[in-house]
Amino acid sequence: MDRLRYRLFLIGYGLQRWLARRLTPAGWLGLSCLMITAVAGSDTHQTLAYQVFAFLWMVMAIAFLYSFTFRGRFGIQRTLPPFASVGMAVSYRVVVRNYTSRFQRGLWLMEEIDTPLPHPSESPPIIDKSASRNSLSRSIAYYRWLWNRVNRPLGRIRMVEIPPIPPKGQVEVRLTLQPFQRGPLPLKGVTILRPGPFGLCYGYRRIALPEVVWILPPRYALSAINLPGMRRYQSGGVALASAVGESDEFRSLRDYQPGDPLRKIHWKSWAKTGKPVVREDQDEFFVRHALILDTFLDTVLDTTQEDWADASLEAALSVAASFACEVRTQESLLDLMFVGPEAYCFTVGRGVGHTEQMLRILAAVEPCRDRPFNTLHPLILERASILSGCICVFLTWDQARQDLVQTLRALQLPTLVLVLTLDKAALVAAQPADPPIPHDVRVLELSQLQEELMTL
Amino acid sequence: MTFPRFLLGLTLLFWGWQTQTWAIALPLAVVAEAPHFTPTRWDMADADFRRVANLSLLLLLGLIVYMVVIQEWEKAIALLLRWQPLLFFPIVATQLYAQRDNLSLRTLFPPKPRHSLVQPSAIVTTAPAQPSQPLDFRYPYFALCILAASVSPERSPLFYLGLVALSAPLLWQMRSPRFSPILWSVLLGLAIGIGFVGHHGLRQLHLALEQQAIAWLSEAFGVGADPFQSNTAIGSIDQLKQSNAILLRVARDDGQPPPDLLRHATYNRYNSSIWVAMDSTFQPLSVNDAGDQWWLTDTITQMPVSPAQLDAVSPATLTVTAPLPKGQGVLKLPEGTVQVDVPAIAEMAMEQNQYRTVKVEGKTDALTYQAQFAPEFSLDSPPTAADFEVPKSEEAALNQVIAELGLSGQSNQVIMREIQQFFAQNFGYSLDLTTEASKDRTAIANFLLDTRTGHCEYFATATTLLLRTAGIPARYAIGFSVHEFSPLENQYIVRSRHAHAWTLAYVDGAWQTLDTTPPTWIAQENAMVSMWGKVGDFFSWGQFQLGMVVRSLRESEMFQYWWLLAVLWGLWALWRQWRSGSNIKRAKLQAKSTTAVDLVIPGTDSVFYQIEQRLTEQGWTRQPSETFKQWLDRIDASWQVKNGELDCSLAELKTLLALHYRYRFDPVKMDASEQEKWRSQLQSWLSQFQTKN
Repeated sequence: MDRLRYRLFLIGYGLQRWLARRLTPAGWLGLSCLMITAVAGSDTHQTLAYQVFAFLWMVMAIAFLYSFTFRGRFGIQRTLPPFASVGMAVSYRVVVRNYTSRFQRGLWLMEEIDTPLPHPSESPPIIDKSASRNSLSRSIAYYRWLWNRVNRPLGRIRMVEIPPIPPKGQVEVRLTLQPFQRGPLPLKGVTILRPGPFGLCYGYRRIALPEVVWILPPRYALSAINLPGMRRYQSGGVALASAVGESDEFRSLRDYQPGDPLRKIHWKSWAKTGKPVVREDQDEFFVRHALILDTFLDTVLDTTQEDWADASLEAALSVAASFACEVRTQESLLDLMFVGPEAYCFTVGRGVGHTEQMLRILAAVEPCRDRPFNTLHPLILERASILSGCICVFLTWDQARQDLVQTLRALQLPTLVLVLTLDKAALVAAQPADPPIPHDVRVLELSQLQEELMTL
Repeated sequence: MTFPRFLLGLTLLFWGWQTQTWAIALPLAVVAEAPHFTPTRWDMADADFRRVANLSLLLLLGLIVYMVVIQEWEKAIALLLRWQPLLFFPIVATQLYAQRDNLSLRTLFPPKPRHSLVQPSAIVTTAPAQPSQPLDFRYPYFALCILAASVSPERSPLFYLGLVALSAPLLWQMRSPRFSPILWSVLLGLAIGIGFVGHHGLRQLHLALEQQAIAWLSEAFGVGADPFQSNTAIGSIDQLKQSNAILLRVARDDGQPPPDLLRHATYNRYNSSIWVAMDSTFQPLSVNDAGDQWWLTDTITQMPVSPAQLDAVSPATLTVTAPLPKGQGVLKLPEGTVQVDVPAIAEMAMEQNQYRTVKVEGKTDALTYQAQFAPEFSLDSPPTAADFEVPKSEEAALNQVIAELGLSGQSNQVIMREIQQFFAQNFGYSLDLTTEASKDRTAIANFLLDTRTGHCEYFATATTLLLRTAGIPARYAIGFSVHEFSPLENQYIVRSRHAHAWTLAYVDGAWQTLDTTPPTWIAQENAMVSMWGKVGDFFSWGQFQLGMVVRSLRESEMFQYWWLLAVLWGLWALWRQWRSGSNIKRAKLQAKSTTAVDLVIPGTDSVFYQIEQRLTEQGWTRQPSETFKQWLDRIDASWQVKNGELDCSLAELKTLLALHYRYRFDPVKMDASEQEKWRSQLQSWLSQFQTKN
């Protein structure tokens, strides 16, 4: 990547951030007017705009210089919720303490959301590949990508006015987080702002207070899911089922055979009989479902439709999150399988991990753009023998996905297949009549996702 | 923060006063301030706001089109600024008369979806749109009015005074409550004072810079360069780069090819690469009453050519279209031109000097004229002593060539033929002058004796000087060569790079053209044109056609009624708006919000809320999660410290709080006397508290 372009971007971004912290909305208007009058007043014969420029320049300069006079010592205590969901505003408390011995009035509180800058070695994933864009669009595409990346935070927290704080006293304010996208939202700290005498520039004190809020994908209501399938022998045994069910059940004692684990040796019986004896526990049988999540964006839609692709993936994540919440993990295990930078499998249920952890993982899923769908096959087949059933959430219904479903059926695994699409009719029409889309493959349209999920 | 009352109206009046547009500003001010006195509001949807915003943008577009038509670019900023308050008034008026107060830029100018096929609902399922910040359009509109007022024809200090007087209430409204009015006043006074001195400084700086720029430009280009003097590129070591832009369009009315050369100006004294027209005196041309026929003067008789003479030779007509930057220029005319026909243009004037250079002035930026010409006429003045002058520095080389060619004592015809042959046989054409020549000789000497390569200025200068040395009076002429026919335009075109120089020799009692530049120069220059030349030609043609339309529009009488067209268009737009079934409905001003149901929560008028506000101002802020009781308990501790000596006790307030709860929540209401008693107790508590603080 061109380092010069990156540097330029950094300068521009830094300037924007700095101005955003320094200028009030009225200050932005003042700065815009200053620039316009600088142009319009350049010819002093035509207009008197140079007089406006001179006055405005002085007002802005005084306001700016005065903003450095803000002194104050403050303490902050924030009570942050650990989770939030996309689209649902969350309100939380912040206590502001005034350590000075004077009244503090007219202050504002702003949360600082940490926006990690993309590393210079990171290249935009989609835009470079799109052949249909014109050269101008391509030349500014990198900037647009960077700009979108840093200027579209996962959520927004509007600044609020702090009530007057008595000397050595404290007040409580409520901030509202409006989450826009899933993922971890890092908060750097808070900034206490003081508008100047003309209300154009802020003086500020920053207080570092790093914390993270996880923004989870939105969930849908699901009808009760009854996946057919039987309990399967689980080789992990009690280690995977420490709390509930048929764990730790004693069955019998037998003579030691080479290869038995040492922890199985029944020491008391050895002491009595004088030869090694091992205890046998009952084998572990319980229900274990796989939740197979399709994150392969490149095969779904061509790259000019990145909005569609993103919307499909987000919907798939929401559906997966809904299943993760709905499946009763007290009695069964749920394996979440997907491919991001590498192939992943996470298990929850029966005391192994919690649903929140799975939601947190789903919140952090990255799309896979550089590998084919087949990458997922070995991961699933490796565990097929211990699975009772599969829930597949697919982004399209192509040959690779059909092959996977065929394989699962051949292994006699009951499978629920959900295919998400923007246009159901188009997907069905694009499918050859032979073989048609099987009846148990449910095609769900994104615009009616909730309604269709309820009819499952 | 609320916008100061009447400020918008006053600003509009200020604009009207400064720009002398009272007739418009006054009604606008009345409309802007009327909402304070009338409860009528309009219930408008987002789409209605967008229509209003589009109307403003269309008005702005109309103004830009008007600017293009009148082409007074030097006044562009002033013109553009001046009408802004009128153009954007619909937007601000809509905000003032609308029932809602949550307008934003996104409401007026919604961003276009990147893919029209995307179902909005599909995207919304996972990525809700970010709500945009509400914007009070009165603030930017205020700034716009002040900017527009700056286009004041008068340069009086009242503008600055008005600017300060109007800005002060706004700055007062925006100030933070932390700061005392005294500090605010001192700082504002400082800004006003330094701003006053500063704008005087800026004005002086601009004037000084302007003077300096004029001095630099004069130095760089020379004063009165064209009809009086021609700076040639003779002697400069560089590669000449010439523009491919089309300058002239030429067509002969009888369909014959036009003359090869169009003369621009003539000079007669050469020194150090500069040709000068000596004692050039311009005299006005004779013109007919209609002002569309101009006759060139015969410099011998000092009379124009008579119609009888003209009819005898049946002159040809050449139509030339040429740009006239800033309404001034020199006509490009074929040899033997006696009459120029131009459309009558306001303040048109033509002048001619003794070397048949014709200057023209008129209020137009391009001119189409017909030149009546016949080769029989030669209106240039007879030779003078200056037409024999040869610079001393060039004499040696010229004499050497004359001797080589053996021209001494030959007839004029032979001399001309010999010189033409000499250049044709021994010289080459080139624009590349990068070869370093001998420093002992002049550029012309080098050209004649050594390099023998150059461009038309070398050939014309050398020929002129050689003829003079051989005893023939000669002048140096510059102009354009006409040789390129454009199939696209179906006429001859003359480009900037077709500029040419040649010699006029006085032989047999008449000035004759002698062009010794090798004819290959045309082919050589054509070879240097890039492949994009054709594309440039196409745009040039488009621009030319557009210019013709614009000019014909401007020159037509209809143009004076352009505003009528605008009014008609406005009426049509309004009619369409009305036809499109807009759902704008009249509504009475409501206390707040757009909700139809007016929720009256009983007990919210309790005096206790005033006490809460007063205590909050003193620093005892009630937390959102606290009940009144918890709050009073919390402040109990610090109460004694601060109000130990006070008569108003917190215990009393706690008793009154119980009654507040009853007033606020008890379905069985207190009777009137009880309410009255409770209220008076609260009031007295509040007044006691206020007097002590």
